[in-house]
Amino acid sequence: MTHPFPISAPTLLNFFPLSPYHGSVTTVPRIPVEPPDQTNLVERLRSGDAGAYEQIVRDLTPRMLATAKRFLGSEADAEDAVQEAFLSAFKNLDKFQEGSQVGTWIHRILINAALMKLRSRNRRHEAAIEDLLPKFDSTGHAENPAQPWNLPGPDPIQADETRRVVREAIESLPDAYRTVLILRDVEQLDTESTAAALGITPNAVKTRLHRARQALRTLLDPHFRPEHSEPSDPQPS
Amino acid sequence: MSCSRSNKPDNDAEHTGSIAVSTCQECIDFLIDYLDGTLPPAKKAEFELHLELCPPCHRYLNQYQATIRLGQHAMEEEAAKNPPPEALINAIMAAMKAGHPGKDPGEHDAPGGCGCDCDR
Repeated sequence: MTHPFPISAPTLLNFFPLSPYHGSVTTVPRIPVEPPDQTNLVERLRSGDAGAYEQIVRDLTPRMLATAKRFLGSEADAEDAVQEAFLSAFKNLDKFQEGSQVGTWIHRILINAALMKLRSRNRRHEAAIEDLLPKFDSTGHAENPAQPWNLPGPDPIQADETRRVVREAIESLPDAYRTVLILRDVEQLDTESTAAALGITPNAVKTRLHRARQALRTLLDPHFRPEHSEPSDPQPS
Repeated sequence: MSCSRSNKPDNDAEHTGSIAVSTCQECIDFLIDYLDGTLPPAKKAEFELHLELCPPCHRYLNQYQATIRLGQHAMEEEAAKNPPPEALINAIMAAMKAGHPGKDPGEHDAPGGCGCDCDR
């Protein structure tokens, strides 16, 4: 028979450790990835209970879709990744380790599916990130020192417009940097897990993350600067 | 000139006698290690001294942290709001029933397995 899974499950399952990142700057509470009712869920799945399959698909799909869209941008690609992740997980329930969280397990399969899809597609035109990093003179002082920001109040981070601006800025980052930023700052994986997921060294993760954050700050700078002030960092051309 | 901190190594040595974070460039290079709490104590002290003396670097640190929070909030809010798309749910359920593993285990229980690479 023709196999229904476009990506081999063992590859999707070859994932990174499940250690979350608990750094000092991650202050946003996570939306839970676990289904609300896990009573006998894995047992029910393993016994072929169709209701259990539908329950877990309904419970986990919204967050998984949002996660896949962060990596892939397109809705269609994100839906493909979610479907591949669920099918891979269901096919490999015998590999699920008791004591683990089933939602977290499937979420990690999804991240692998999204990363594989990202690698396989043609790279879009990407601006060099160097243009978005701070510049320094020969004595090591900033050429354009940071100027104050006026974040929109009273609750700026909840404002739709702010979120739209930030999302667009993140989406404009080159894939290699956007991916690290999402894995570390949004998915809150630690450096080692991120390195394992991407197949790069922990040092490369740190370097890319620092550059991604700096570039994002530069992209946000004109939106939060008081009017009529000079840019503090080079702006994208 | 943005920074009142000298970048001369001799002056740094006079300040702390330790490894110096003497310039804005070094300060910004060390930001991620500072926030991760991985700077050695002597380096951390120099870093914080630089921040005290250099308002632009202090501002940059605050904006760097704000950038992280803004990114987290911008990306998190989508998930909770949207109901799962029915078409996707139906597609997943249909694909699952068509191939794996669901209520139709007979194929997998057949002698020699089902012929696919599902390990059954």
